[in-house]
Amino acid sequence: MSSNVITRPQVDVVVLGLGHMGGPVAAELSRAGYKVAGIEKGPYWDFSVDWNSSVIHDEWAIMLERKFDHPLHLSTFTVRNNKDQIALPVRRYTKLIQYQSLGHGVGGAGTHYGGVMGRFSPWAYEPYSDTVDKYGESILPSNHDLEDFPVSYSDMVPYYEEWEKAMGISGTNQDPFIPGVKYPTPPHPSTPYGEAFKRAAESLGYHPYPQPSALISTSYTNQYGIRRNGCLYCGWCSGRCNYPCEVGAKGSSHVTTIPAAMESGNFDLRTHSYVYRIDLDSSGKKATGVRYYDAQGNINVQPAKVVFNGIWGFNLVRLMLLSGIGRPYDLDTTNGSLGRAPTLGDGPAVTNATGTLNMGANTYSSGNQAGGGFVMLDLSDNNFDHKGQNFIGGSAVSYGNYLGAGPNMVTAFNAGKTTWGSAWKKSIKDMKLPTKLPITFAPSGPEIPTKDQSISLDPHYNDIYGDPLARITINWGANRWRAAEYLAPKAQEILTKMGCTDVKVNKVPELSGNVDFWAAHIRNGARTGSKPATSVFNKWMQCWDTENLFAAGEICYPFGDNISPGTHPAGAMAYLAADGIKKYLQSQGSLV
Amino acid sequence: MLLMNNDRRNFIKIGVAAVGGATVASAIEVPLLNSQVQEKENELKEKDEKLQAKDQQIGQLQSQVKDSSDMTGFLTLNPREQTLVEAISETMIPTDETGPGAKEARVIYFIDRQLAGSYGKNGNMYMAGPFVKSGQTGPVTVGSITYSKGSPTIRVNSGARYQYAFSLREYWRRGIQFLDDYSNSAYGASFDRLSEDKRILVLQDLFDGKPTNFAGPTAVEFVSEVHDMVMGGFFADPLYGGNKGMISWSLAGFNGTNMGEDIGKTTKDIMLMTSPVRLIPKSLADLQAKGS
Repeated sequence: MSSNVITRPQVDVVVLGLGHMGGPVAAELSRAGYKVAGIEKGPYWDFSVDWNSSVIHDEWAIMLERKFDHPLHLSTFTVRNNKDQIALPVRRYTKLIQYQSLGHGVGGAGTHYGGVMGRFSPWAYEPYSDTVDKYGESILPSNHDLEDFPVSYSDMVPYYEEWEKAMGISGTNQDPFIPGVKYPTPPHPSTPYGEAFKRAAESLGYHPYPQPSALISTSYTNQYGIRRNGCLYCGWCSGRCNYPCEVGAKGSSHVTTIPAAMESGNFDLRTHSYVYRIDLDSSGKKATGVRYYDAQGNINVQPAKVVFNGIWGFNLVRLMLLSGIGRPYDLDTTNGSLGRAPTLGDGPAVTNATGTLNMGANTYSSGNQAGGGFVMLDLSDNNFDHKGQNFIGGSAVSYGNYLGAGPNMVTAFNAGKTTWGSAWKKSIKDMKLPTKLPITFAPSGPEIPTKDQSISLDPHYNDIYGDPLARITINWGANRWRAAEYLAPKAQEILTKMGCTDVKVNKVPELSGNVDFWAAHIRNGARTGSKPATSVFNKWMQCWDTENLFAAGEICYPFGDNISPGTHPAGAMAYLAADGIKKYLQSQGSLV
Repeated sequence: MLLMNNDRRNFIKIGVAAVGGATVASAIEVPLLNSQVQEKENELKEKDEKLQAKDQQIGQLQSQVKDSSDMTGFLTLNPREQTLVEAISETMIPTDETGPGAKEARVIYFIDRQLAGSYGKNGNMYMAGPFVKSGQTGPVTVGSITYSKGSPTIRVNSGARYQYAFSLREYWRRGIQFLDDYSNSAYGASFDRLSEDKRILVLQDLFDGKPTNFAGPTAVEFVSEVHDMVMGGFFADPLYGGNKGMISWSLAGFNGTNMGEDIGKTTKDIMLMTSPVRLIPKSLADLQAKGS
């Protein structure tokens, strides 16, 4: 390649990806006086202009054309279900929800996510030791790879608080299972449907509380002095996790942390910059910086004392594999830690309970994707006895957030034999003005990491610059179904208490779901842990093999609990990593 | 209008004086006789009337082009494809006792414009080879690697299902032909000549994967793709060429871009109301015209 090479002056920290993870690190380090360069493959969207309501109130553009999402011609990924299959590349955005997670631009996927928040519980940080302690190893799958976090919940509390303050998260402290939560902004006004759920759950002895939301309830100024607007309840984000927010109420680094970094005077923002290598010194133990392509085709060399990898999901792993960092996981020998045993946070259909709530609804134009409803954790974690069961954990049960389904007109009609013709057409008459609301509760178990899954480099497919794509070898585990079998009748009781009609449990056979569904909350591929043999990062999110490389993200979890979509605990992890980087810049060497 | 004409007259007056001035080489002003003034006034009046008529004509033309969904004509579908896609759309969303269907919504123009643009050209797709079919159970060899368990089973309409080197425009061209071939061989006539009952049977056969003559896309892939684009044409904002007059939104009770201003409520007020509120649907063009 005859590209021009530009070598930049050294910075203290180079931050790769300016989404939920990169934002806090960029803000914390630049405000502490360190020189920070932020590398982002997409643009800086100005929500007040780029996402004006007259632009984004357009379902076809946002949901189907994915106008503000990652352009797939730059890069994609490949997927297969076992190591003896070829993996196929995801080539297009389609009406099925998948691959929605990749954002493009400052804010990353945070610019268009759902915004449902919630801390992980104390149990979520020690699922392995607690499970083995109470039920013995035999309750876990034989090829499990479950480990505890190397930190405890109480270690994480200060970092949770920083993240919550930065985001202005709306909610209250009423959860008996997660102690000490104090959200900075009040919860959203509860919806009548949420209230119905709350009353029913309480009468059954459960403990529902307002759903924490990153789509904030009122205007708010965070700890960096960055002010943003509260939600207008326009309802457009209530469709699915695709809509950017026209008033900046949706908490994301482009309106929470990156503006703070920019104000510090120590932050250099490089948009349209596609990072492709982390460079190592001759010892192979320390990173010297990164290389990226800018939009003009130049190769930029950015030397740095610390590299923070804030890229989303499997691409965080991919960049390290491309750079020869860490020990790649081998599916045959089950040795190695990088790309080891990833799991999917989103699942296919499981046995569930359904009913119809006979109550009027303003499905549109109103609502807030993440607020207005209630959530309870009584059917999750080890909050009920699992003795004699063949699963661990459970999940949050929530209802009432979505005052309506948002626009969601096209996606409601994913291909099916019955969604056309006269009978179908009759069935959609006044569907957006319902007096009967169908409800599905599908509490299930969390995915348990198993040794037959991996993230590796694809041998056939490359990105636009000729580098191999990430290849995901992944399948569902049985824990999800088994928990659902147990929990669906409990959900049925709640529906009955709510006064629903047609309440029933719908059986879904174990492991019958499609395994071509891979989306936002992929975890475990580059985990933090206390053992270098199986983890990539230590408890400060410092890479075991490359001491000046740090990272954060759901992909760094050793376990992804089912009580929160997972973004919120990752935000706390980003603050932990920022703290680790500060310590490292002062002391050097391994932090553990 | 009146003001505009007066302005123009003054301008022309000044213009006339200036021209006069130019002809007499730097004279300050050429005095005009009263009769000449009257003549000029008449001349100008006549011109004004002509201009007014022109203005009216332009206004009429503008109001005609304002609603672009009124424009007919095709950018990419050929006449045979137009007939067949129209017939498929009308079968999927019929005009019946529930109300207008795909025909009245002008779904076909939505599809034509999509196929002529980025969608038809795979604008935002990853298109590097190799192209390997999903759901193969036997061994698959790609390059120097043999995979003993073939390829993963990917659902129709999932992002990894599309494993073709050709564009979606070509996918449609081929699919339409395969559909019509099947209609001829299984039901004895071209799809557009079949009764509605028979058309429904053809489409059901495709959803069931019955036809064997589809050489990529497969029958179920093609009919699902068409289905989703028909739904897109019915439900997407009218700016995209379908959903004329927002008829699908009226049918479903969707408010479009109307945020409740009609009833003097905020979206938060509406959120907390327990009975459904129907607003008059508004489109993106309405919202943009309002200058939000």
